Amino acid sequence: MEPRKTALLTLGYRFLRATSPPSLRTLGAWLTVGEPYAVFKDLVRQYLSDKEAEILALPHASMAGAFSRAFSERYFPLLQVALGGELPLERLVCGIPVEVYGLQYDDYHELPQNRPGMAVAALFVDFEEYVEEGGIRVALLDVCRRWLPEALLKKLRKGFDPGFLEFALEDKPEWRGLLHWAFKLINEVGLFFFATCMGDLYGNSCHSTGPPEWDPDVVANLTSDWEECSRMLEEEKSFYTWLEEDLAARAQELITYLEEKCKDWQKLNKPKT
Amino acid sequence: MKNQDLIAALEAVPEKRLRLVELARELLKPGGEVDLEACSTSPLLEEIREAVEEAEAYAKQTGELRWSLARLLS
Repeated sequence: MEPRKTALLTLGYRFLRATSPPSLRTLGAWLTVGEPYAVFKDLVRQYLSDKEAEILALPHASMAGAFSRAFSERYFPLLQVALGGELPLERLVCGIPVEVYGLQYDDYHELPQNRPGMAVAALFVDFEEYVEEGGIRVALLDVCRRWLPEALLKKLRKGFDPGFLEFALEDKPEWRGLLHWAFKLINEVGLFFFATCMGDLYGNSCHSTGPPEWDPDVVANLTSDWEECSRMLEEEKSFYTWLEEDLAARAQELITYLEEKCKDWQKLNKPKT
Repeated sequence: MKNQDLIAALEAVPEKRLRLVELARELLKPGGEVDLEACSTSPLLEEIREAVEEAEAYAKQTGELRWSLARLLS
């Protein structure tokens, strides 16, 4: 090859090495962002039309985050808001990245690490037949020993049947939070946000469905579902707060009430002779 | 194959101007950010898709050629 050509090629090679131009794959990825962006613009117009100008004026990397924050405030929580991170726009348009709160296997094992009110409240529920592995109750009893006397723990060794709790707390709206927690623990809440766990949507197993699709009817249903869930969460929180004001005294008050109600429950369920 | 023949064969390969590179030149703003508005208009969406396919095919064929050359020279 001519020395001039070789020199030019060497120069070109050095220039490319030094400037690191993007690969064809990178160029392709940059330009194909137009496709999800077109879908994203439609989503902004459909669900946050009053914020369209504000969101679309942001740098590309911040748009999806701004949309998710505004959407979560108005409709129901989206994943990245809960995680405090930024979901890429390309992933956001693939489906509604909804945050769900159904209990997973690991959540049961983490029950003892929850706030004291939650841990003590879990002791009131007989949920073990719904969880595959035993031993969780033992760990719960152990951690609750910090706050409850042995005599109380003895009474809570098994917990109460959720069906009985429903009957007993019927006229106790201030304690309804315990009932919500009980039905979440046995996974019997018929609301999407509590009946679905993260693994159901985003797990790697073949049973994972992926996020729900962007559809106005789906958004409307989830929004109404979330209103109900928020109310339940508030009732739960207020119950835990009440319990935490004096864990031993409040747990005792609750047990006394439930034991009294147990008599009515037994009368109701007594086989007729 | 002689080195000279190989170089001559490579020199005979016609220049290929990829549409993707042309499009990148047109659709990148001076700051280096992609012009999203332009990229998301329907005629360009199709053109970009075709340009990406063309680039992928080109890259695949170049890869095959490189592999063949490496085998030839080894």
